Amino acid sequence: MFKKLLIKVVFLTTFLFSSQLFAVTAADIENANPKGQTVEFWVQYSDERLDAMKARAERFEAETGITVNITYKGHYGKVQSAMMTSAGTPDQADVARGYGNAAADMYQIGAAMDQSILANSSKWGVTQDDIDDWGANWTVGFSGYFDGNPKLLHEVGKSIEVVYYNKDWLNELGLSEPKTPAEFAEAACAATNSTFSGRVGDTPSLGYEIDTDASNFAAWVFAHGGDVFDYDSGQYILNGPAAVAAMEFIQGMSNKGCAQVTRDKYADQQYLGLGSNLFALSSTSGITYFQSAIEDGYNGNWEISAVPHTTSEPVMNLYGGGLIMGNTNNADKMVAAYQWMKYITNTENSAVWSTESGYGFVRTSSADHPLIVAKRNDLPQYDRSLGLIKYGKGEPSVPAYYSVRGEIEKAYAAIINGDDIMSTLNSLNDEANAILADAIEN
Amino acid sequence: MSRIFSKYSEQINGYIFILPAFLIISLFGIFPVFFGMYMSLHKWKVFKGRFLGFENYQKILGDISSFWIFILGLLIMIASYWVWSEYKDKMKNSFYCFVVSSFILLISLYLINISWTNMMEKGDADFLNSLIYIFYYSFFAITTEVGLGLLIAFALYQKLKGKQFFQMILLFPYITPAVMGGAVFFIIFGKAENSILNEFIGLFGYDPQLWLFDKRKITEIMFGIKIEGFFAGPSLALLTSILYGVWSYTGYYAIILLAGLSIIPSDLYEAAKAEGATRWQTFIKITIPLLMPIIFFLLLTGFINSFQAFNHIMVMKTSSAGETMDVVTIEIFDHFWDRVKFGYAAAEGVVLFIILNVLAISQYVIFRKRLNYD
Repeated sequence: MFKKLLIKVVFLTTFLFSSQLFAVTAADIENANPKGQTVEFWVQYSDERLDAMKARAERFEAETGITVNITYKGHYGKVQSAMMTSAGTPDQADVARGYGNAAADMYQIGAAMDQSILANSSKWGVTQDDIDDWGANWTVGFSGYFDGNPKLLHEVGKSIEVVYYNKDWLNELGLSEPKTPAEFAEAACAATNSTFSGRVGDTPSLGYEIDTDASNFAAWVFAHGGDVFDYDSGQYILNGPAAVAAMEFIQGMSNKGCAQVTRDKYADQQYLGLGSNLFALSSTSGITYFQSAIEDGYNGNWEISAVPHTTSEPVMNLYGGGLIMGNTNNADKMVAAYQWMKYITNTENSAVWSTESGYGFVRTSSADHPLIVAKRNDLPQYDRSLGLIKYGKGEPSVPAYYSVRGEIEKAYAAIINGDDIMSTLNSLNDEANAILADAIEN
Repeated sequence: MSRIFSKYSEQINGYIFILPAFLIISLFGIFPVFFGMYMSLHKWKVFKGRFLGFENYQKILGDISSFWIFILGLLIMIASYWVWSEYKDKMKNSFYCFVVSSFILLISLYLINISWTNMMEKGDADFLNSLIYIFYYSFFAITTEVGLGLLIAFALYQKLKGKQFFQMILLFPYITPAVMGGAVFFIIFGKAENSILNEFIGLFGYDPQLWLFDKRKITEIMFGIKIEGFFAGPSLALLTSILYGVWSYTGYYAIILLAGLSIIPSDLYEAAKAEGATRWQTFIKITIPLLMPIIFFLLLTGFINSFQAFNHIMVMKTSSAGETMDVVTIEIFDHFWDRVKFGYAAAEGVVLFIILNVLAISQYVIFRKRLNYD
């Protein structure tokens, strides 16, 4: 008798504690009190950007009584790893910076939450006017990959992969801004076989130093009219015709000695600044770093442009990094975190952040902000970058894309160094699809 | 009760004294091993998932029975050496002993070959290759470190001015944090034509090398022959990380061997000198045999430790080196941390654990007769 009773008690207790009865509900959100809460915010920003974000957090605390602790966790991958490995513990951050694929990975294991419950709150959520102002930057945060179309990402900034180039050197070579891959290769080889008059130091000339990350790979595939993922079949297409064409173009330049794998992290930026590299492909979020490198180096004219393309219009790799909410299961903290997310993406802050960081703003209304107008006038490259965002196309927001990126990087470097394109891409595609299958398997 | 206590008080006291050590070792040493084994039997992505049984092992090894055949092959290989070392002096004609042990060795090589081929066909090739890469790393690093360490120790054992200064300098690489040392090596072994090492070898008329960015096998670079498989050797990139290991540990081994040299009775050297032995003969016939227990210890612990090399390789690895620098610890880290496949990574750890145990056994059998001064 006693044994049966004990079993019932144990069963009921287990059921209660493991059920959704203790999950945060819409009513909990409405009744929450965010004041006095501390929001942990994990970021990939460092240096000036981190300082700028911390200054914003201080202003937010003064206005709302909510404290925000901002912690630099390393690059995006490290932020993701930290969030995932601390899932289910009190150590997890309330908000973290990341991309859609990271959000998908986190959501899959319960490390990230669906933000809809907060967005829909009449007291703490967003208005229809806000949503309209965000436009596509709002809708892109929903992940149709999962049942219920959860909102996993709150967009905070936009950047795009562009070509940075030494305008003075291109003029010396008598060439104009390359519009197609063939023109790009021609200019890269011409630069490799010449020496820029303003070069600082004695580093040999090079047309194009390639940062072999997956975003660079995707940028060239997009520019050749293709994609790296097919959402219809839910499979990677890293060995598709556009990927093959892109790699033939890259390997062709490498074979002629006009392009090579980067010597070190940010070496492309450094040598472009010194006037020994003509081209670099990088995100517009690094625009201020390129500006500094050039000012400290050859200190001449430079420009950004669309990635040379075989398509009629440019197709460019768009980064829509955003804010991911950790699943803390605490309504007060969740609301506090969401207020912070809304704050840093309001019209004012979106504009200020854009001028501070080089990221594109996410609110249409930010375009007319005096700071944006001033920066557009001061830095024509920034102005041009904002105009290129409309050509953007994103990389896959599917689980385990971070792991696939590592495989792409190795295969990309191998191809540049002379490995067979078709067999390398076939192996890469098989590996990528195997990683995806493994990630979504229960 | 008090009678029992007084009767066994000595034993009870003993157990009480070892209790803290027992608890600490159990908690931090033994429990994680068994917990890792438990994890390896589950789908575990941060949180424990469904029970998989040996599915993770199946994916890693392709065929679990092949793995055990591989382990059996290794043990038979050890046995072949045991037969040879144990019976070669006991049998009238040592040729028969040689034939028998050679036959056993051939069987072991056959088993290792077929089982490994089978695993490579069906299992996780990345993981299995990572075992080969770490074998290269350990083998080349440890033999060079101990060999060079021995020579340095012998040199320092002579009457030298400023001996203690050199001893101190020798320890500098060992106490340098691996991450910092790895970063410095990354710069020295840069692929740019004007990297420090390329500038240096250029002084002797050599072409610049890609070093950490070169995934070509050493046999291809040195002899121009392109071969696949185990005998192709490490890539130039991995060899560069081995050089870091050599730089980092040689001084440490030299200091330990120097301490060993100092306990060799000096009258042995004097007797050898009186008999007219050369310095080389003294080194081979007296120094090395008497240092063998220490050399054995260093080889054993060094080999097992270097199987777990991680920090500097993580810092020095490049995308151009492809997978050739993905040694087993990097592979496990990648699955655990980047892919969040805790169960799978744990299974890889268990496989490594079993192999390390076999290595420990093999080294014991090989060196057991050289463990003392008899």
